[in-house]
Parts: sequence; structure tokens; C-alpha cells
Amino acid sequence: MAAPSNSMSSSGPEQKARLACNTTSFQKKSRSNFISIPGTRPSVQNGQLIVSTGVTSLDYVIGGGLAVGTLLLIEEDKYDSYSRMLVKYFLAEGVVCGHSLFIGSARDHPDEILQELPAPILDDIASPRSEEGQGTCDPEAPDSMKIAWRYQNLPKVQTALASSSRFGHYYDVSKTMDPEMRQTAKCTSFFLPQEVALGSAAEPSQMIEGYRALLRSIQGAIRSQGFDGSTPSLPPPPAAPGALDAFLRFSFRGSGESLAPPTRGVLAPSRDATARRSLLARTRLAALRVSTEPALKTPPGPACQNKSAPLLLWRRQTFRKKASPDGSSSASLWTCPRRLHGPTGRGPGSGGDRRHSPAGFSTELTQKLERPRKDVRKKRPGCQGAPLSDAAAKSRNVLRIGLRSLGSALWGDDVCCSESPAHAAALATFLYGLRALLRCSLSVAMVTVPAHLVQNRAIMDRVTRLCDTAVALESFRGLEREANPLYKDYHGLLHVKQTPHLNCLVCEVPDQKDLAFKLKRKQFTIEVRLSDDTPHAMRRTPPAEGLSRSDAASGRAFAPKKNAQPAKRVCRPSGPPRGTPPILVRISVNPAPHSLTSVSVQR
Amino acid sequence: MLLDIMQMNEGGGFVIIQDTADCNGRQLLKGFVNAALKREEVVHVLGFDVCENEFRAGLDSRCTQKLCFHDGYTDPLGWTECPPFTVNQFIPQEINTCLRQSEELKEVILVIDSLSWILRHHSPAVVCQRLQELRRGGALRSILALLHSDMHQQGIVGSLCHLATAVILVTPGMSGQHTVAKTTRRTKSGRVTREEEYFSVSEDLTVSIEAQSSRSVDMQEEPEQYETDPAANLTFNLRLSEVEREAKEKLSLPFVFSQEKKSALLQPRRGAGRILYEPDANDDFDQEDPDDDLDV
Repeated sequence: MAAPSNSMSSSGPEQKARLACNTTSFQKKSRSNFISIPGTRPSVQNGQLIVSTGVTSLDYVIGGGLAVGTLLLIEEDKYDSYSRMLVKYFLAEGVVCGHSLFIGSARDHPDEILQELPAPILDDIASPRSEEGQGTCDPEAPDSMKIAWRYQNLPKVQTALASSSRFGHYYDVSKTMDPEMRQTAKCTSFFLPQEVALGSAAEPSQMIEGYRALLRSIQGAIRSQGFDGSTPSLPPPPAAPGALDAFLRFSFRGSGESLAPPTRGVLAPSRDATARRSLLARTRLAALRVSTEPALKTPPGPACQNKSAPLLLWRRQTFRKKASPDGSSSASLWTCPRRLHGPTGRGPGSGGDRRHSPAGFSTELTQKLERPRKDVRKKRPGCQGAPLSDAAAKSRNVLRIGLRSLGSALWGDDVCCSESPAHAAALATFLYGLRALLRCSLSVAMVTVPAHLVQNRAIMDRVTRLCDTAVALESFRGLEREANPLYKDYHGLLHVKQTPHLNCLVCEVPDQKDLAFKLKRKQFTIEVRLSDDTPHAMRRTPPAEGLSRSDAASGRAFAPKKNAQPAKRVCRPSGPPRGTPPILVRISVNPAPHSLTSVSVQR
Repeated sequence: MLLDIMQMNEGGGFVIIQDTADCNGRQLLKGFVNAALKREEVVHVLGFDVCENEFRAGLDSRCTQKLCFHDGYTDPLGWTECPPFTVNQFIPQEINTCLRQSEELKEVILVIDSLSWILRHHSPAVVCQRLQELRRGGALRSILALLHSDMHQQGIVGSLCHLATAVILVTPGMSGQHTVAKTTRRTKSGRVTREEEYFSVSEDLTVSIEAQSSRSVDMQEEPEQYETDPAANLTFNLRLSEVEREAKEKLSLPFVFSQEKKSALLQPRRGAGRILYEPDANDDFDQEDPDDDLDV
């Protein structure tokens, strides 16, 4: 037996049993707080669980990666060539990490998109032979050691992480992904023409049928596969009762007359605009409070239900306001946030109009928020340390949702066609619903919107506000600029329009705004655009060195670690303190924060 | 590139010819139709803008039996008893039944003359959806449509062109007889090519390219950059010749054990240590990396 266990034989039998399987009593501290899902890691800025976008340099630009539960907006370039690549990278990353996928499209069939995924560049395919070389000592072998020969017979140790657990990968655009690998991915696809029959144009409600069906389909995928914290074995509830239905019913109903342009909603007059801004600020604060609550470990129960109600209440009010064309209800909307700070959150005003009574909406969401916590409590008494939480970890996975060209005419939306569309709020309403789904599940979404076609800038601004991270691509293809020598090294410009404020008042601001991108065969790089007088020290192109690590996988135990993760090198914790509690998804990620202490008490 | 598009090699293609009041694109459209008929392809026309005789005028008379004209010109809204074709029939199922009237099972080319008329009577989103549905249906080889772009809002034109695989914008040239075609074509892989060509359509509807003001753009992923070897041109020697290497290997270094002793030491013994390592991404993060400030 190994030496360490002999030396510690004086400890109790329990400990011995653990040592037999574990060999050391020391556990790494950093891992204990988070359940490790392959392809995720806690953010260095705010401890949020993040996933990679599939493009390492994009991860860096938006502050490390996409937080689980958030929404990334990609504004398409004019010919949709690069934004399409980004969606493919995003989905391919999901396949490599073993995440589940959801693909929604109205134009290309999702299976076609899946077939065109780029091939990952994996360096651990070539080195599965870690067990051999045990007995023979052949000095003539090419890899026999001259200096450190004492290590020669030791088994090779995998120093690099298995590629599935690494964060961010590189892809070869010229090849497509291996079909076998593709089939390992659990993929739900939504192809609009198959889901929604093309109806007659006379029916106005038909126009947003696509969004409604898509939202239902996403909800079904989240529920049936257990991304919302429920047990995945349960069949999905029949016909999506309760929350979403209520939401859909009163938010999509009659949206045709709700926003008579140009006075209401999208093109709000300036007085309204300032009021809205202050409302927005307050709501953010309230949302912050609400989302902090679970992490502060208040006891679950009716109190908690009340505390998470305000945000939902506010949301409900917003939709009600949209549904009624007169100004009276909008006044009650503006007073609404004041109630948010009240002790109960359920003011008298909200009780007045219960016709649509989406009580199911709020309670159901609250239940969802609470469910993981209940699970935690159930598990805790029987928790015997690692094994159970490992089993829980295995069942956890991330759902990646990729939606292409939302808002284009093929979805039946007319924001691309006219300046004052009849369904100005349809896309925004959909995004509200999508966000609500994302926020309380282990899922992350990438949405592309043909922003250059959207005629009304106010609609695009609203859509951007509703997404967490917003990135716009501006390709040089087919433009005069292409010939400009300043741009000759690049394929387009990348604008980071918005980064999310997650659990803090400041957001991660990219240090450089002048970004350009370039699609190479093996890499999609984003670089700081330079003029010649920029000092050389500024010329840091973050992830460029990432490809030189192919030899690290076969290294021995003492080999220098070459696979410094590129994003890591530059993502030093600079802003908020590390102690900021991760909040949004932590309730569902973290089954038992105190499991370690509780186990030791039992002993 | 105009002639390339005219071949219609690509299955499921959707070509839009955009014209304005300044410059009529119907001659070019008829040039396309004529070329397709000469290749003995089946062409179905949904005609709303001009009557059948006017459309057939000038087409090669030998092969016009392959052309099938669905007359939406005489009664576009179905006011009479039995209209030949109405704008309300612009539904994929209806069109597919129309196409099946021709006995051959060959893939056909659908010509729409013009989309502007249809857009007057259907909402743009519906038109886009149905065009896409037609393309996916598989019965069509390609769709060729004329669009009077100055009649519609920019967003509608943009939405339609977003769907197209090739857009040909026809504008008047500097001199009288030539016309400029600004062609933008994108392939399925996302490649975009643009070209400007001067063309003319002769009496017998053959399209000929007069001159190319080509600014052809052909961008694919660039090949990997080859780094120059820094050890290529040195004033001193870094490499060993074969003789030098042998001499170097002959030299026995201190503390180098003989082969026997090595293998004796390498035999597994009791109490030997083991290396246990579980790879962890956190290990690669070096807090005090001294080389962090180097730009390498």
C-alpha cells in the first residue's frame, strides 16, 4: 500500500475507509463551493457560473464568459455570415462540453445548422495511452529519459484537463464536426415552418404565433430535461399550464392595438422617458434585492415568497399596461416601484384589477425559485459528504439555446419591414418571457437579430436593453472599407454594446472599445485595432497563444505547464471583491453550501 | 458573374432583379428566361405586370412550349367568374398544384413578374414566409423575381433581399445603351461576392457583358500565418553537424549511471512513492507569474 496511508494508520476506521478510496484527506478548497459542470467555471469577477461562447477572445471581451441564466444578443452583420459563425461556435462548444442544445430557426433547418458545426481542435485524442509503458525499460526508445530517468517507469499523468472540462475550445472552420460526436449531443430543435402552419394573413394574432410556439418549446425543453431544478425524470406537464400560459395570454393578446404609433411605448414622449429611466433604475435595485435574497440564506417560506414577488409584480404591471391603451393604468405603473420597497410587495393597487389574475405566474415562478432550496434541505440530513453531491452534480447540466435571426420577417414579425410596425412589442415581449425562463434555470441563450434591417431604432434599443450582453458585428464585406488599408487585416468591427450588471452596481467594461475581428481557419480572433503610434505594450491580443498547447497533453507529471488558459491570463480580478455572493443561479447550482460543516458536526 | 447567375446551377436559388423607374429590369428578366428556355428547362411565370403576349414577345419561338404563363394580369383579384390566376393564389400549395399541371417531373424555374404586385396585396412578412416555403419545397430549381424597389419602403426591400441568394440591382449607365448591374451573391457558406458589370440585352434577348468594373471580393478564411524562423540567419552556429553530435554523445557526463545500475534502480520496490495528480484548471493560474508583463 502507499506510504501516506501507513503513516496515518492511527486515525479512526472511518477515516481509513475514506483514505482507501481517496488516499489523501486534503481536499481542494476552491472546488467545494461549486458543483462543477463540464465547460463551466465561476467567474473571477463576481463568482457567477459562466460558460464559454465558443470563441475564446469573445469570452475575454465580454468579461470572461456568459453567465448562466443570461442572454447574449448578437446584432447580425449585413450578410449574416459572421453572426452565423458565432452561433455555430456557441453550439459546437456545447457539444464538446456535453451540454444540451436548443436550436430555434425560421430559415435553415436546425439539423442543417447542426451538421455544419465546425470541428473542434482537441489535443487529447492522440494521447489515450496513459497506462502503457509500465514495465519495460528500453533505453533505446525515442522518449526514454536521459536526465530525469528515475521517472521513466512512472505512469504518465494527464496534466491537461480533459477537453470536455476545459473552458473554451478552438475550432477548425474548414472541417465539420464528426457525426459521432454530434450525435452525443442532446439537441432539441425548433423549426418554425414545421411547428406553426402558415396561416392566412387576415388573422392578426397569427403574426406572433411563431414566438409563442418558440417560447413554449423552450419551456418544454427546460422542464422536461430538468434544467429548472426539478427532477428530469418527470414527464413535462401537459400543455404547459399556469405561468407561461397566463403570461402568453395576457401579454400577446391584443398587442396589435396596444402600441399605436408614435406616441406610446416604443416612441414614448420625453416625460415618459425620464420616468421610465428612474423606474428602470429602481427596478434594478429591487431586482438586486430580490436576487440577493436566496444567497443570503433566509429561511424559505412565505416570507421568501413575498420578497420575490415585487419583481414579478412589476413585470405583470408592465404587461398590463401594454394591454390597455388608455393612460390610466400607466399611471399606476409608475407608482408601482414604490411599492416594491414596501414590506409585503403586494400593494392595494394591484388588487384592483384581477381580471387577468396571473397569480399562477408569480407563484409558479416563486415555486421554481424555491424548489432547489427545498431539494437542498431534503438532501442535507442524509448527506454523507462527497458521493451524494457528486450524484447531484452529474444530473446537472447546462442548456444552450441558440436562436437565429429573431425579428426577421420569417418569424412573422414586421419590425424589419416598417418604421411603425403593428407588432412593435412582440419581440420585446418574447424576450421578457425568455429571460424569465433563463433566470430560473440552468440555461444560457444566444440570440441573433438582423439589426440592420430593423427600421425603428427605438425597438432595437429596447431589445438591447432586454438582453444582458449585446454585441454587434459590422462586417466589411461588400463595403468600400474593405479596400481601406487600415482595415486590410480584419474582416469587420465588433462593438460591445452592453455588458451585464450581475450582482453589482458596476459592470465589467472592456478596456478597449476599438475592436476588430478576423475569421481564420482555426480561430475567430478579436483584436484591438491599432494605429501605428500605439505603443507596443498595448499590442496584446489575448488568446493568440492558445494554439501552442497541443504538446502539453502528453507531458509528464513534472512537465512545465504550457497550457496556460489564454483568457485566464488577462482576466485578473480587478473590479468587485471576490466575496460578492454569486446570486442569480446559485440557488439552483449550489445544493448544500454548508454540507462540509454539517458532516463534521455529525461526526 | 451575371452570366454565372443566369446558368442557375445552384439548387434552391432565389434571384432578385431590382429595378427602378429610371431603368427597367424586365428586359434582363426576359433575357434570363430566354436563356433558361434555350437550355430546355421548364419555366413557369406568375405574370401580374404585363399580359401574356407582351411577355412572350421576343422570346425564342422554337422553345416557348416549355414556358407556362399563369395569367394574373387579366383578373388579378378574382372579380370574374373563373379567373385564371389571382394574387390570392400566391400560397405554396396552390403554386405547387399549378406547377404540377405540366406533365414533366423536371425541376422548374419559377419567375415572378413582379413581386411588387404581390407585396401590394400581402403583408411583407407573409410574402417572405411563403417564398421561403416555396424554396424549401424542393419542386423548384430556383426562383427569379422582379422587384421595383422604389415602390416599397426600404425595410421591405431589405427583408426580401436578405432572403435572396443573389441580388441584381439594375441602374442606368453613363452612356445611353449600356446598363449597369450591381450583383451581390452569397453562397451557403456565407461567402459574399460583389461585382459591377455593364451589360446590354440585344433584340433576340441575349445578354452580353460589355465591360466589367469588377471589384471582386473573394474572402475566405486566410491561411495560417507562417512565422519566420528566427534562427535562420545567424552569425554564429546553433546547429550540430553529424560528426559533432557523435562526438558530443561520446562524452560521458558525471553522475550518469550505467545502464545496469539504472535498470536496477528502476525496478519497482516496496514503499516507492507515487505521483497522484488530478488535473485542475486552477493549477494553471499562476498568481505571481514573473513573465506576465512580457509580450511574447
